This record gives sequence, C-alpha cells and structure tokens, in this order.
Amino acid sequence: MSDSPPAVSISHLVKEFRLGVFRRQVVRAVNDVSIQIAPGEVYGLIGPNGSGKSTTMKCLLGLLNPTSGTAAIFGRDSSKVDSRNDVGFLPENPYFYKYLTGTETLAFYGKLCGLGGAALRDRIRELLAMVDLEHASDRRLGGYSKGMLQRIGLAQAIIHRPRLVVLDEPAAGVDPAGSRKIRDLILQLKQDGISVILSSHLLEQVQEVCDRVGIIFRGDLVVEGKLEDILSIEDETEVRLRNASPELVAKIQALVAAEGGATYLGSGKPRTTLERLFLDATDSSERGERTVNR
Amino acid sequence: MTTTAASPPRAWHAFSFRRLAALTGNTLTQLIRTKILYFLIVFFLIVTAAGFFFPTYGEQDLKLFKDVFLAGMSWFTLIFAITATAMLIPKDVEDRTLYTILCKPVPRLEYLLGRLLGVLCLIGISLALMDGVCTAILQLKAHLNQETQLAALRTVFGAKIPIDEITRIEQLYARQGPTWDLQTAVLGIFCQSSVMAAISLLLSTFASSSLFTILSSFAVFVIGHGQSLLREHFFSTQTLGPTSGILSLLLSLLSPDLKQFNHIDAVVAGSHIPWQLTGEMTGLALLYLGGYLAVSWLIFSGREL
Repeated sequence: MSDSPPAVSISHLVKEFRLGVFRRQVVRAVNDVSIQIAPGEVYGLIGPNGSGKSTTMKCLLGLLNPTSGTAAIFGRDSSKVDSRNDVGFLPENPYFYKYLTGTETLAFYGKLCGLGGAALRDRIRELLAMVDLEHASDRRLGGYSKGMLQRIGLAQAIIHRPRLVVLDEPAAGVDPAGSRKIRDLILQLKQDGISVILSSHLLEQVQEVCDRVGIIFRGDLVVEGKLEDILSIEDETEVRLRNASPELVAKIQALVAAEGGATYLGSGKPRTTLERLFLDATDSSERGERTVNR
Repeated sequence: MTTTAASPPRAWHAFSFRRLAALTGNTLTQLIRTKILYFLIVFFLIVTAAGFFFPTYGEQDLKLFKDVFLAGMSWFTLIFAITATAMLIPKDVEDRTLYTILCKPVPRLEYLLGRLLGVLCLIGISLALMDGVCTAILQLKAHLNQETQLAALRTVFGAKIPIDEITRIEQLYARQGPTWDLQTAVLGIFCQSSVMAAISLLLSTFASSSLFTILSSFAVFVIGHGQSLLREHFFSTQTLGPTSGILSLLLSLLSPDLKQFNHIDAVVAGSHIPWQLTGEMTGLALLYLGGYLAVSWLIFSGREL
C-alpha cells in the first residue's frame, strides 16, 4: 500500500446554514459526510438537486467553512490557500470574464497559478488544442457557445497540472457530442493518474468514467462503493447469447424450470443508449449514410 | 508528459507579484472593455469644452478654467472610483467567476488588493491624461492672455512699457498658469478618489447590492467633507458629554477627512501649497487605504461564497 496521503479526505463533514432575519432557522445541508479518494481515482458524487453535492465540494475547496468536521487535499487542510496548488475546479455553469478571449482567459488563470513566460504560452497552446478551441482562441468568451465555455472551463481547471480536478456538472447543457468530448477529457485525466471528483446528473457518463460512486441524499451519504460492487445484483446471473433461436431460448427456459431453485426472469434484445444512437446517427449522417428503422 | 498529466507539487508563496499583477491587469482590462470609462470621458469632455466659453479674460479666465477643469476631474474620478469599484465584487460573486479565482492558490487579500489597484491604476492613468490636457490648455491660455495684456499696455506706453509692469504681469501668469501647485491639487484628487475606492471596496465586501454600496459611499463622501466641521463642533461645545465625544470619535474613525485632500480652491486663488502639506496628504491617504483594506480583508476572509 502506498504511503502517499489520499487525494481527498473528508471526515465527518457537517455544514449548516442559518437563515432568516435573526438567523435562527438552521438548515443542515451536509450531515456527517466522510469520503476518502485515493490518488488517481475518479469518484462520482451524485444526488438530486439540493442534496448537498455542491456544498460538500465548496467545503473541500475552502469556499465554505464547515460547521464541523475536516477536509484535506493530499494531506493538507483544504481551508488553507496552499492546498489549492494541487486542485483544479470547474464550477457548475461557469461564467468566465466575457471580455477576455480564450487565450487571455487561460493566461489569466495560468498567472494566478504562478505560471508565466514561454512555459505559460506553450501550455495555453497545448490546452487549446486539447479542448479543440484553437480556432476560437482569439474570440471573446461572450461569443462562445455553452459547450465551448465548458471546454475552456475545463482547460483553466487543469492549466497548472493539478493532481486533483473537481468537476461540478461539467456537461450540463452541452449537446451529446460536446458531452462526449468532455467524457473523453475526463478519461484522459484518469489515464494520466489525476484524481477526479465528478458531480453529474448524467448517470451514464458517471458510470462510464468513475471508479467509485457516492450517492448523497438530503445531506447524507446514503450509498458509496466501487461501481462494479454497487451495480451488480448479487442474486441474479446474466447470460448473453448471439443469434439464439426462439427454440434455444425455450430450451434454456425449460432447463431452468427443470433444475429448480432458480427462476427464469426473462429474455429480450439488449438496448443501446439514446446517447449512443444519437452519436451513431449523427456520425453516419456526416458520412452521407442514412438509416431508417421502420 | 501528456497534456493533462500532473506536475510535481510546486512551491507556493503567500504573496506573489505575478498573481497581483494578473489581478490588477484583469481589473484594468475589465474596466476598459466594459465601457464604463467611455461614458465618463464624454462627461469630462463636456466639462472641458465648457471651459472655453467663459465670458472672461485675463487672470479671471485662468482662474475660472482651473476651477471648472479641476472640479470636473474631481467629480469624474470620484464617480468612477465609487461606481466601478462597487460593481467588481458583486459581479464576480453573481457570475461565479470568484469561485474560479479563489479555487486557485490566491489569498483573498491579494484578490482585494488586485481589484483595488486595478481601479487606482485606471484612475491614475485617466488623471495623468486629463492633467496633461489641462496643463497644455492652461499654458496656451496663460500665454495668450499675457500677450493680450502686454499688447494692451503697448498701446498706452508704446515700446517703453515700465519694467515693473512687465514683471507684475509675468509673475501673475506664472502663478496662475501651470505650476507644481496645480499638480499637488491633482494629486489631492487622486488621493481622494483612491480613499473613496477603498471605502467602496470595503462596503462591497458585505453589501448585498451594488446600489447600496454606491449610495453608502456617496453618503460617506458627504460626511467626509463635513467631518472636520462636525468634529470641531463636537469638541468646541461647552456641554460636551461622553455621547458627543464617542460620536465624534466614531465619526473620525468611520469616515475619512476628505477636506485634507482638497487643494482646488488654493490653486485657483494662485496660492502656494507647501511640500510638507503634500507629504502629509499622501501619508494620510496611504493610512486610510491601508486601514480600509485591512477591514475589507477581515470581512471578506470570513465570507462564505
């Protein structure tokens, strides 16, 4: 086992907000949440709106002060500014400075991280190519589409090569092709050993990229674990066949009934996802092909 | 190393000129590109143009020109300092750009300082340009008025104008033309605007709207100009009780004594402003700036976003 500290260590985190004129009404947004994320791990934090995901992330990033509990990034107290040397953050629906161009935006955030000179210029070029925005590098962000803004947001989050990247709804409002690009970038981060916290309502995307998932509901972490563990249904077994005739399926069904103990639950055609169908259809349209299902 | 690969942990410094310069530069760009400045430049140009249509001549012409021009500069920078600064933090919070800045290794004090310095830089640049225009026009006006007056004397005395009369006229226009005292008055305007920008920044660290910040800042400006009078009143009253004393003390602490920065009347009158006073004025402005920035930091460091 490695001696390096966990990328994220949240321990018994509680966050309460005081509301009302006299601040007497107390709302507990996060209730005793503990999360450990290993270096290089991609962790999905999912839950309905208002469940406490963003509050947990804000506490981790020092934007909110926890009511109790602690949060650390690579062993350093996350309320301290120096811990942010290792973090990149893309907030939900980020509005960057509209008056800056793509290049100027990355230069600004790069300088905030201590980069400068030729190293910064090279890094900006590299990132613009990575997020496919070279063609719009001199255009002001006011003229960017939602997908382009998310991509420039992701580029600014990793400009200083952080060891942890926090992504809050990175694909919100982005079309499937843009969403796929963002997914690919997250997979690239994963491949390079960067720890990622991903909060998203796109569960399929979470399933595709995350090693572990935590489900947060009304401030409580109600489910947490490795994807293969929490998604597998322990008392069921899946058998997949290709080109099986109805007779063969009937024989299997009869065999199961004859054996006793097990129950045949059903058979049918596996389905693709809507996202994949959309992407396949748009890809084939681009190639001049046309498929019509009647 | 691939595009997304992490770099080894970097050294972090509690204060960085590069970060501060980035924040200051960004504020400057923001203020220039969001066109707030242009509206005020139009206002200033109207004031300048008005300065050419005074039905006066001679010394009075120069006095009136300086009065109008310096007052225009003063109002221009004051309005700009308050309104521009009041909008910076609330806009960053509303647009969530503040999240992306403070999630980088940027101390909150540096963020505040960068914002304030950006505003002060733009005020400084604007004032330098206006000062240049003012000085050039004043030089031209002084020269023309002096020549006109000497020409008038030539019609009376012919070629032999008494030397005393020539010296008197030359001294008069040297005093009323561009002088170092004029620059001191401009420095005073810069000091006043800087202090008001710092107050506006302080108020915006906790205010819920920019309108509240702007109105409160103008209230502080009014109190600041009457502060010395109020203080004198409290201290000179025979029946000075503990309440009046505390009120006076609070007033002195909460609002700056802006009269200390106003040398426009003296410059218009052609009086000399001692260098010592210039030094004291600059020192006082720095003291106020430091004090208000420290309070802003205390409030902003605990603010939840």
